[in-house]
Amino acid sequence: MSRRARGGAVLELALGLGTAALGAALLGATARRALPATPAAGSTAPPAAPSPAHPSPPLARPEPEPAHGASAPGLAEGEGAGPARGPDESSGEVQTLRPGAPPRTLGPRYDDDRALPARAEEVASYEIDARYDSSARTISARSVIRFRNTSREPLRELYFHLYLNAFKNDRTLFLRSPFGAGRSGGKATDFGYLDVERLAVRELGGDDLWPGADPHSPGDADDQTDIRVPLPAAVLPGQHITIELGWEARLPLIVERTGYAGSFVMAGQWFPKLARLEPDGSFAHFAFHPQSEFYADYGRYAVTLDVPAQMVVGATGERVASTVKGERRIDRFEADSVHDFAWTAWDGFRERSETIDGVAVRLLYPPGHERNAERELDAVRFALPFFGRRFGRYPYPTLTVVHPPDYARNAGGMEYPTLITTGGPWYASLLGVRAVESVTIHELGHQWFYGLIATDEHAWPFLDEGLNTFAEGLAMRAHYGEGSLLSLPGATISGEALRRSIAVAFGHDQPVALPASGFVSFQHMGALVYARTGTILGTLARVYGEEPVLRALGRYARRYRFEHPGPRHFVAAIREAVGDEAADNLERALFERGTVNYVARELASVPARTPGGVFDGASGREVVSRGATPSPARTLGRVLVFRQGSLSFPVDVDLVADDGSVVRRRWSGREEWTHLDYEGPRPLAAAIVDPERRVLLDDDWFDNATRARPAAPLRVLERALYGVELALGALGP
Amino acid sequence: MTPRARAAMLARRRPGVILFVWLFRALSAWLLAEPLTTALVSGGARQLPHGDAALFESGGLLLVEAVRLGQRALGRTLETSAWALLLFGALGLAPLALLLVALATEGKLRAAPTCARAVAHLPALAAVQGVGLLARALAAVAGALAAVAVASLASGRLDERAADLAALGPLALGAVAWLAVGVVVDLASAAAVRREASGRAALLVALRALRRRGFGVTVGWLMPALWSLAAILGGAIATGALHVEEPAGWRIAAVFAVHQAVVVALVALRAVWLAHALRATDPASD
Repeated sequence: MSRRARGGAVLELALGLGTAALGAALLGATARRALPATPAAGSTAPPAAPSPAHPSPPLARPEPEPAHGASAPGLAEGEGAGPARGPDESSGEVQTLRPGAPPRTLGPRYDDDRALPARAEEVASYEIDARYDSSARTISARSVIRFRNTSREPLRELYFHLYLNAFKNDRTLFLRSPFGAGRSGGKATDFGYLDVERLAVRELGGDDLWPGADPHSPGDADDQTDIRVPLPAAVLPGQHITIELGWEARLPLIVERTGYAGSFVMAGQWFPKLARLEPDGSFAHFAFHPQSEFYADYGRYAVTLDVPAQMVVGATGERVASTVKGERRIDRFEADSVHDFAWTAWDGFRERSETIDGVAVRLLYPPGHERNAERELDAVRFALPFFGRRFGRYPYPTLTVVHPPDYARNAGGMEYPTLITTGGPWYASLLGVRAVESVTIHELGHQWFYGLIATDEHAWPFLDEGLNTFAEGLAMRAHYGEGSLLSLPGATISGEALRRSIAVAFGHDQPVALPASGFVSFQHMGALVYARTGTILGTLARVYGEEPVLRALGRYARRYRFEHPGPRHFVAAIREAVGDEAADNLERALFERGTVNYVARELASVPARTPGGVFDGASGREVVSRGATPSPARTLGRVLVFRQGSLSFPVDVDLVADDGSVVRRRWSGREEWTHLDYEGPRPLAAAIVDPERRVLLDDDWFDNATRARPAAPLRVLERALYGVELALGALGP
Repeated sequence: MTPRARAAMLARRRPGVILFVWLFRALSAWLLAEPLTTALVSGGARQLPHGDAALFESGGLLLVEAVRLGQRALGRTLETSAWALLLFGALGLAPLALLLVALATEGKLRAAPTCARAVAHLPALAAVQGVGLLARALAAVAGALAAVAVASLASGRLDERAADLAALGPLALGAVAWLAVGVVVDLASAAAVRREASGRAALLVALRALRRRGFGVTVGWLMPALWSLAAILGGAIATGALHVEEPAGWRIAAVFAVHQAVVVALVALRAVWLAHALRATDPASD
């Protein structure tokens, strides 16, 4: 999801007392558990059952999992963090995947698409027949879920996410904060909910199990977004079950990317959805927190939507049938190897279609947005093959891009499998700001970092939003150059400049690798998860080379396609392709609030003089007077350079003489300080650490430099003078 | 001091006064720009090997850094500067009076009597400007209110772009009204000086002149205004080509020269229009 699309007002999101208490509890639990755990000696865990399509991730519980569910904060240290073991794909040996130990290698087989799996292992597949009542704003539906127990444990309960219940009343976890909630910053002004009327499991007798379901989310009597359903009998590992549900959803006025506005509908997280089943038999379930997104198993979706006939419908997957019966339109969509399904409908949509990189791209947009539509298509034309080449080809036959009308702008800037929403006013392109392009490319990038690599967005939001922000930055810079954020005559601002500015401002407050609910505010989550992760990866790319970092991302993205990797899978990929130093820095930056600041101080120059004094030489004692200068005259110089913080990157240091000549030195940056000596014909005038500004994470770029005499800021003064003169001319009499 | 003949009131005959007005504006601007500059570089840009050149690099990495590190100082300075800008704007009444007196006076100018006459006209000019300010505010508020009303009416009936463009109509009308008030104020200022009139009388003369010679007055205002826009645009293109982000000092000097030439041109073009306004409100035109 795009932060920009949420609007600036969101930045001051604060959690309410209740939410804050839960957040603090989660934060405390997570802070203890967030560091990549070193497994206990001798502990083992069997590898997960391999999927037919592709070997599963080798880790039973690959990460020090943040708490899922209400009971999780009480987990003991290390519980659930299991030993990280798995087969080394290159050698067949079992290695421990932990910091400092060599990771399981991914290898060059994932540098291209030859090893890509064709499809995901089906775990939870949905057949939904839904009818939308546009006057009551309700969806009446029946679902059939074909579910397989892919864990190694018998299941005695199921967990369902009823996300729409987040908007049921002002006491839900999502809405209870009196300071506003959610990424879109607003409170619900027309409530929505999801009522399950019946739930039965065919293979377990077919009785209605819903009356026996817990009435609320675990540990939270006011929330109904995370519901446990006890089963009458165990579902054994490998066993299939068929879950039948009858339910009715009432859409809210658009809040948090879902709901209605006028005749426009954006239905996201609109149906009862099984929580993701982890290999150890637990469900990754959680109440819908205002800072959280989602997590689910892959499957096949076949959805029939019955809507008013005049509506144009866009949805996840391919439209395989469309009929109009009287005043109703009935469209059927099918999607394979996805983990969610969203749809939109509006009688005002304009439509453009185009085949891009072999994918049928369909753009739905409001009238008057023709200019935006062209820019969005241009962005997709560039970014679809751009991402495909780097992270594995886009595997689906369709992509639907939805630009909601302005009055439904809160539906914009969101990703779903094969469907993304963008946003922005029709005149956005006239302002010189590339917001529409940026949102489009960001959401498209999520087709990989969320869609195809289905990380736990609740537990590790940086794995989708952060990696995707980096990917977005790459594409934006490649396509639009240095003016990727703002491009006006005489002024260009890159997205990287803005992200870095936000990233360093918040870098000392909290770690990046926290669950969504662990961030003290949405402002912090946005800054750390999006901007700081992007800036961390940008720093690695600038310091160690873009090519190895992209190779690491490419291997990670291809190897874990249709799977659910965690942070250490990603760190291991960086370790393999970029090196231990980069991976160690990455870990510290993600998990330990790692920061860095290079400082240059005490620049000094003196004329070189021959040493004076009393010298005992072979020819006897000699008294030499001090101060004789060598010919030609030489100057000695020195500057002290400090590295503050726990991150250390190798940097260049430029020593600049007063005639403008530059001597460049390399410093490993491992020590906390060093002094760099200089000898040359001219005195030192200045020194600067990291002159090419490769370390985007540097807390303060200006203290990297020091001069013998500060420079007069003539350029700024000149520009300010001219600006004020024009202002006086315009405002004066 | 002898009043100039109507046809002789031309800007090109007073280059010295034009330069004086430019100098006044440049000095006023410097007093405001210096603290802004200090605030922006307070983060430490002066310590960079090439000073503030890096702030102008493409992509804006260090410009954004300067704003981040200097934001507190910048915030405080901008707050003060906004008031100072209004003050200096008001003080601009003095060079305006001087320019009008100079344009309206025959022969070689002598400092003391010219200044004395300019000072004598300040109350009338202030009254005219005050009325103008009020009228402009009304035009702005009326335009904005009308735009909101149109937007509300258009919402749901027209698509987003058409609705926004419809709302732009009243705003554009408000802008035209704003500019028209400016023309009337300038005509009235000219009349106040040329006819030694009070503020009220000068405004009546201005309205009469606009009614009688609307087309000529409009052209007389529009041409210098268009040339002013062209000068600003040309300056932007020229300075863009000078690449001030490069370390060479001559580039700063060249950009400074271009920008100041633009400001001199703007002052001269305003003088051209004011000379036209003096001729349009000259008693001989009645």
